[in-house]
Order: sequence, then structure tokens, then C-alpha cells
Amino acid sequence: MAKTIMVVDDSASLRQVVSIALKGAGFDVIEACDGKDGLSKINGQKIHLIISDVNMPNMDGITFVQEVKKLANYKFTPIIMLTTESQEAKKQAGQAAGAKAWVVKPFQPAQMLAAVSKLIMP
Amino acid sequence: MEFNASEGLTMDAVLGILIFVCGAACGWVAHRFRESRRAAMLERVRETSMRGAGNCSPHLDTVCASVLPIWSLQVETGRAQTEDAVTALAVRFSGLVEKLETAVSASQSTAGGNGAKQGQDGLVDLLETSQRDLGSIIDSLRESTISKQNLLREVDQLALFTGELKQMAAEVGSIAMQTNLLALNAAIEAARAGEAGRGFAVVADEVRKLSTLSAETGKRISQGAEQVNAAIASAVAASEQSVTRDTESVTHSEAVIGQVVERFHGVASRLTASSSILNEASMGIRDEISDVLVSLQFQDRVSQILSHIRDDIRKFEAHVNECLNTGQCAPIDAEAWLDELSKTYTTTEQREMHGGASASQSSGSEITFF
Repeated sequence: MAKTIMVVDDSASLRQVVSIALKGAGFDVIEACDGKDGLSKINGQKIHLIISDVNMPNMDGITFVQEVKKLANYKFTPIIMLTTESQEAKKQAGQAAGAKAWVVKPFQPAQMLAAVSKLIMP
Repeated sequence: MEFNASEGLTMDAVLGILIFVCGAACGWVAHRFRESRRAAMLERVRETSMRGAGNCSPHLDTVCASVLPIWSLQVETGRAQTEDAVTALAVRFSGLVEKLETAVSASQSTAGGNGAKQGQDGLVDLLETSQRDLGSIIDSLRESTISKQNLLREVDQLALFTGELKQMAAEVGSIAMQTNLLALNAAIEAARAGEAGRGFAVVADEVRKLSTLSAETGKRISQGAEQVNAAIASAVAASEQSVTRDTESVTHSEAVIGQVVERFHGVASRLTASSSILNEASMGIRDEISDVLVSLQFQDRVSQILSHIRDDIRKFEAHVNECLNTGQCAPIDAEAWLDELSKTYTTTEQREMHGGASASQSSGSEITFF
């Protein structure tokens, strides 16, 4: 059975790009347009990994990660931050919130899949 | 002139140091140039702000109030249109990838073969199974012909028996003729005996009649045996023709099946080859699409940069509107404004440009695991 990955990004094109890469590797994808939308869609879903942007309207990525980590069922769900941000301070904030990896856009699909495979077995 | 290696090395070292010093000097000059350009820009902004403090040009304010919302709208429209177009493009690419994978999968499944990646119900497997089935039919037909040949040999043996029967009939005829002669002699002797031989003459007559009947029976047996023999010979001839036809038919069928299978093998080979070509092409297209996916992500960076410009224009527009509404312009702290703007930046190139440098192309794909 295919594993499910949630992609949270306010850019519809970016969500599509990530979805193409993940679906091509056999994953199911759930899309959310920001942190708030992600939280509303996460409940009850079996999600194996989350890929989230940092700068988003309504709820930013760091807050979203903090909120996800508060949920008992998703406490150990690995999260990859996918962002244009490469500042060390932002990365540290992501790590402190509970993210497992920090990927700077634009990403190579193969490298993203390698990162996903490292965190969950495909 | 004699070449001295140590002098050559010294010259190289001096030349290297000179190049390094020149490079460092150029770098320092470029840095100073950027710094001085930024300082000059800040100074100009500061002077303009000071001149305008409390004495805003109503004309400039009106122009700004009119133009800024249009700039903001234009930037946002451009950003949104690019976003929509790239999203649509990404969706189309997604569809292309799915269609390509479906086509490759269908082609591999149809071509079939024993490859681990290819379907088990493919044409190659079907062909091999069909060839085996048709071969077993040919074997059955050949066995049937052999059985018929065996039967023919058995019927041939019957002809030998009818020959013996004919011989026996001839012998019966011969015995009947001798018995007839014997009866004739007995009748002659009975006539010679006169009245005393009358009873014997009757017996001799009866024996002659019986010998005549025996001769006729022998003749009929001989005729019957000849008829049976002719029938057997006719049946054997017909069967031999049938066996010959069957053998030719089996040989012909085998040849036709071989040709048909060979033709299908040719088609299957071409299909498998085309499937391989399609598979290789699809791998190439996947690589191309992978590169396209990287390029499409730059829209996200562009969108973020334009969003920050739009937000800053709106901020400036709000300031100008406040000036117009209150009739007084609070002085703008240019440095604070720029600092605030720089805090909104999310990309490295924005920060580089803010510092006066030209933006470098983002390499991306930087992954850090925690």
C-alpha cells in the first residue's frame, strides 16, 4: 500500500511540482495551502511524512510544525521543511520546532526523494 | 641562454603573488565600490526625506497616491498570472507524466516476455504457449497417421489369408473332379455288373452329383475369395492414398504453423524492441521533466520577490495616503524602512541585491538533516 505524504505550500505550482515528483515514486499526496489548512486536513488521516513551506499566510511553517508536534498521533511524523530560506537562524528555528530536514528550493526531484527515503521507507 | 629551473620557479611564485595581490585588490575595490554606492543611495534617500519632512510636495503625493496602487496592482497581476500559468503548466506536466507511464506500462505488458519488468500475459509469452499447443496438435496428427499405417499393415495381412482361401477352394475343385471321375468309373463298373450292380449304379450317380456340387462350391469359394481380395486391395489402396494425404497434410500444416509462428515472432520481436525504445525514451523524458520541475520552482522564488515588492509599495502607498489625509508628512526613516524591507526577504539573492551586489543564480537543492 502506498504511503501518504502531506505537502503544505501556499504556491499551487510548487505543490504540483512536489506532487509530480512524489506520485512518480509511488506515494499518495495530500495538498494543503498553508499551515492552518494543513492542520484541518491532517486529523484522522494516516500520514507518513509532511513536507512544509516556511513562509505562508494564515499560519507559517514553523508554527505549523509546532502544532503538529502537539498532536499525539503525529508527534513522531517526520517533517521536511521546503523553503527558499537558507538562513541559519531560520534552520535552527525549524530544527527546534521538530523538523527533521531542511531543503532549499529549487530542489532536484531525485534529491527530494532521497531525503524522503531516508526518513521513511518507500 | 641556459635555463635555470630555480629561477623559473621563483618567477612563477612572483607572478602568482602578483596575481593574488591584484585579485585581492580588485575584490577590495569592488567591495568598496558597492559599499560607497549603497552609502550614496542611503544619503540621497536621507536628504530627500529631510527636505520633504513636514513639507511634502502635494503634487508628488498626489502622483504617488495615484500611481502606487497601479504599480501594486500591476505587480500583483503579473505575479498572479505567472503563478496561474506555471500551476497550469505543472498540472499539464503531471498529466503528461501519467500518460507516459501508462503508455510505457501498456507497451511492456503487451510485448511481454520473460523479463522481470514485463507482463506475464504478453505477446511473447502468448506466442510461446501457442507454439507449444500447436506443436502438440501436430504430434497428435502424426500419431494418428502412424496408427492408420499400422491398421493398413493389418489389412494387408488379410490379403494373405484370402490367398490361402483361394488355394483351398482350388483344392476342393480338384477333389470334386477326381471324385467325379471315380463316380463315373463306378457307374461303368455297375453297368458292367448288370442287375447286381443296379444299386451300386445309383450310389455312383449320387456320388457324381455330390462331386459336381462340391466343384461348384469350390468355384463359388474361389470367386468369393477373389471378391474379398479385390475389396481388400481396393481398401488398402484407398487407405494408402489417405495415409499419404495425411502425411502430406501434417507436413504442410507443420510448415504453415512454423511460418505463422515465425511471422508472429518477427512482430513480437519488433514490438519488444519498440517497447524497449519507448522505455528508453520515457527515461529520457523523465530526466527532462525532472529538469523542468526544477525550473518551474523558480516561479515560487519570483512570486515571493514580487510579493515583497508589492507589500512594500502598498506600505508606501499607505504612508502617502496618510500624508494626504492629514496634510502632514511624517519624515521617513530610510534606513529603518530598508531594514524592515530586508526582514521580509526570504531568498539569498534578495539579500545580495539589498547589499548592492548583483544577484547570483540560486543553485538550490541544499539539504540539511537534523
